[in-house]
Amino acid sequence: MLSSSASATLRGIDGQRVQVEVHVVTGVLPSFSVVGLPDASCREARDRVRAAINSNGFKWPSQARVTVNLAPSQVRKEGAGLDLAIALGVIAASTLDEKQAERELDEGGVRQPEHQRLPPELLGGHGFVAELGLDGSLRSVPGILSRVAAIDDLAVVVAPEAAHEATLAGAEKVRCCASLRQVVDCLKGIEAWPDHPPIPTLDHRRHVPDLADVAGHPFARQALEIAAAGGHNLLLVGPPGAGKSMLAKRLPGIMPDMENEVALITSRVHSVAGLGIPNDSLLRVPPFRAPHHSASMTALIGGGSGRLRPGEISCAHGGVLFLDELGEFAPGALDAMRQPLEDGSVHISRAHASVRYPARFCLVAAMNPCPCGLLGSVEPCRCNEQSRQRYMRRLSGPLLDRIDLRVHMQRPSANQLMSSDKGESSQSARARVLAARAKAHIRGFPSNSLIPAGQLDEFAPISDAGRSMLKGALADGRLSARGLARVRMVARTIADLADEDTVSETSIASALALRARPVLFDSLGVTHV
Amino acid sequence: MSDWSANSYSAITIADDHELAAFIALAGLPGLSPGRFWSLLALGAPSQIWKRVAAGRAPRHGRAVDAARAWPAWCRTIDPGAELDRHLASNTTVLPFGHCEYPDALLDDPDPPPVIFRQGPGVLEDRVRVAIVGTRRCTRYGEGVARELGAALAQRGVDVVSGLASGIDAAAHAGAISRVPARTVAVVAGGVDIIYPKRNRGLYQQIAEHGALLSEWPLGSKPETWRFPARNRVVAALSAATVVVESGCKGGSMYTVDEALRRDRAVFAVPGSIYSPASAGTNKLISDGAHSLHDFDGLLDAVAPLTGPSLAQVELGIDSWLLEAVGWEPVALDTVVRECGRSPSEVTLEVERLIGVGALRRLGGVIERVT
Repeated sequence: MLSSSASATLRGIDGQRVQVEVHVVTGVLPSFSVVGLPDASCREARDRVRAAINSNGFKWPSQARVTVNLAPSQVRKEGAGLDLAIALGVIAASTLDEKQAERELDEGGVRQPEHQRLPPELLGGHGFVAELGLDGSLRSVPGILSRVAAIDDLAVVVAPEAAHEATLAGAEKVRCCASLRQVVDCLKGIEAWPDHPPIPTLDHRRHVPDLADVAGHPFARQALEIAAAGGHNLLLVGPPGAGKSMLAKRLPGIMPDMENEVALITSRVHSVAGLGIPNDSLLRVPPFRAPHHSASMTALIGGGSGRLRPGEISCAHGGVLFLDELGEFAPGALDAMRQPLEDGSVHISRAHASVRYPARFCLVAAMNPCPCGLLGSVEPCRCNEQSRQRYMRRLSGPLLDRIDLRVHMQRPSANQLMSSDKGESSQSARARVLAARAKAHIRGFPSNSLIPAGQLDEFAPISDAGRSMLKGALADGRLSARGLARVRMVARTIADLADEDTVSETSIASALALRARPVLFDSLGVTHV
Repeated sequence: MSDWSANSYSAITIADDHELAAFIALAGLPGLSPGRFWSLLALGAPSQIWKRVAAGRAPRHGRAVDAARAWPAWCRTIDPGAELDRHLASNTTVLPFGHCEYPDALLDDPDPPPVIFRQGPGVLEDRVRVAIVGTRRCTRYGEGVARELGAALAQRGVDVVSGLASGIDAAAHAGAISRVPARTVAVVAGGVDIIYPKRNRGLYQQIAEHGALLSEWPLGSKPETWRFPARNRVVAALSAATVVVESGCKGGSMYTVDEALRRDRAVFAVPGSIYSPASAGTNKLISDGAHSLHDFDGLLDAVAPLTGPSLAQVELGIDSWLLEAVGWEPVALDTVVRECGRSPSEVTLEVERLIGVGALRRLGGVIERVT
């Protein structure tokens, strides 16, 4: 007997619909095989499914050869999300129809109890995505959002804890059940489908730190706003204890909520990566990812042998990736980030599969100015040329070249730390950022860093004083031709924040100052940063 | 612009384009020394001189072996109008002595070039210049010193002058370009379009783009041997001080030193190993009384008092609330914002303005006045 039901597996961050076909032949030597390129956890389904079936009052077909086919057969299936479909398929395939039941009785067998029967045609109207416990309870699997979205023509049955995530793909098509038995009863119409569990509402901004906690650092705060408003990357240079990490953590707090498209993609990535989505809705607050500097390239970029998983840069899509202690990261890992910074996505190829993960994020990097930490402060630096050279070699020049905002931070004095002055709150800064972003939106570019160089004159006209300032910087060698275009884009953002139509000299000056080379590179005569 | 200068050379007047074309053509006469050019120019308007020279009636000058014999044949191969067009098309400015853009520093020279051809936007007025010269066959030590010295000078606001030869000259130019591309002046022994040696092509292009490329001869002139000493005198004449990094006992650099001494300019030499033939000349210069350059600050301090215009430009006429608030010690920008009560944007604007005129220097989050 044959049964067929719909389920889904994951391919990258997208779902892949899988048709689970189960064929049961009785009266032969027992065997159970799964075909269709299942991975290890799919193959382990046999033990889970058998225990679940037996625990819920069903009967595993005896003396039967059970064949499970996961179609399409050339796509690798991964994870345990097909358990439910396989279990239902086995129950349905071992259900005898009228004629077969009669024959069975004639041959002296026993009538199949009603509660163990599930007519195969009842499986056609639904998809099933859940893992099964040994007691038959349904459990959630990663990537629910993408999997449910892949089964777009049917209602999908999922575990209760996955119901909220699944409804993001379309509320009317999600059913949840607690156990295998409940699923069968609902399919047969004996029970009504249970309601979704209630959704607790939380203010999702509550746990994002507030900018008001940071006192002083006027230039760094300004740079943070510019990064948020224009999507420019930011480099914080300063000695340990200056407040670089503290400031970086507050960037998501002044960024606007993610728009629907971006929020959907980011939510999918988080779902696939097993990070889960908070309570009721898509992720709205821009994510903040801060990988430790010992992270491997695979953990940062994505990939892995066997199952491909998104990396930190993809989990930071639509939000902020913070690399603290830039000099401690493996140079290879830093270099590997250049391409995703340009393209906004990362392409991972392995022998058996290749996948493209989204990766458009705002990069914030923090580094010490030099090994002793004193370069660029009022105290003189104690490093010799050799240790500075050695330190510089660990920093990826090409990566830093793509960061347009470079700010130097000083360690706060005792007075500053003890004073009770509070800085401006995140809320008011965010209002300015939103207004600036709206202007960029009207121009037609989601962020000013995406304006093509040839159209800068049209969208970012400069005042005469600004133009002569730029010329002076070019003539002095403080600005390269490539830097010129980047400075104009940043100046456009600054002008938006200041509510100017034409980019003024002040905005150009700020943009020039922000693009200045970190002192370490200047002192070593390196010009390509 | 006075017609009579201290050295009794008078401004050359060029009436119109036709005269200019003839003038350019005359400047390219084979074997024409600057002195002979001056005496030719005394004969009348350039177009008339050209006719005389082409007809073989150029006056004799000096020794018996006379390059002038080849001139009539040579003149037949030259079309002055086409030469003028070539110069205009390639953005090469022609500056006869006395022209408003002719380098001021050469006006009082005892032996000034009758004409300077230049390419490149580099500013020559009100700048301090130091020449860095040396042998083509330099050691890695010499090359390194020349490069670092060029870089240090450029960063400090001093222009670097050299001859774009290989070896020390090239290293000095490269050092200056690596910091501030606009602060390098090259005086070459051929036309400004002739790249010699070929491996300096990159340097040539960068200097023509950002700095100043000068020559006494028109486009297409070959860098013949006799032109090198003439070029060396211009290098010395343009500079407040000459630094010889490495040289043998007899070399072009020694000629440059003589020309510098003749004009009462300071001469520095970099000491080297007594075993190195490349330092034989420089070591001897030191023992003969040249200043020994064993650390860069010494040169910078020595040069600073020699430079009138640059300092004056910084002290006078720069009206800035920021300079008044900032003392002579380095101060953090954050502190400036806090204590001056201005917004970060206002402070940044003033800082950038002052950096542009060379009055302020920024190192990370700290600014300090440039002395």
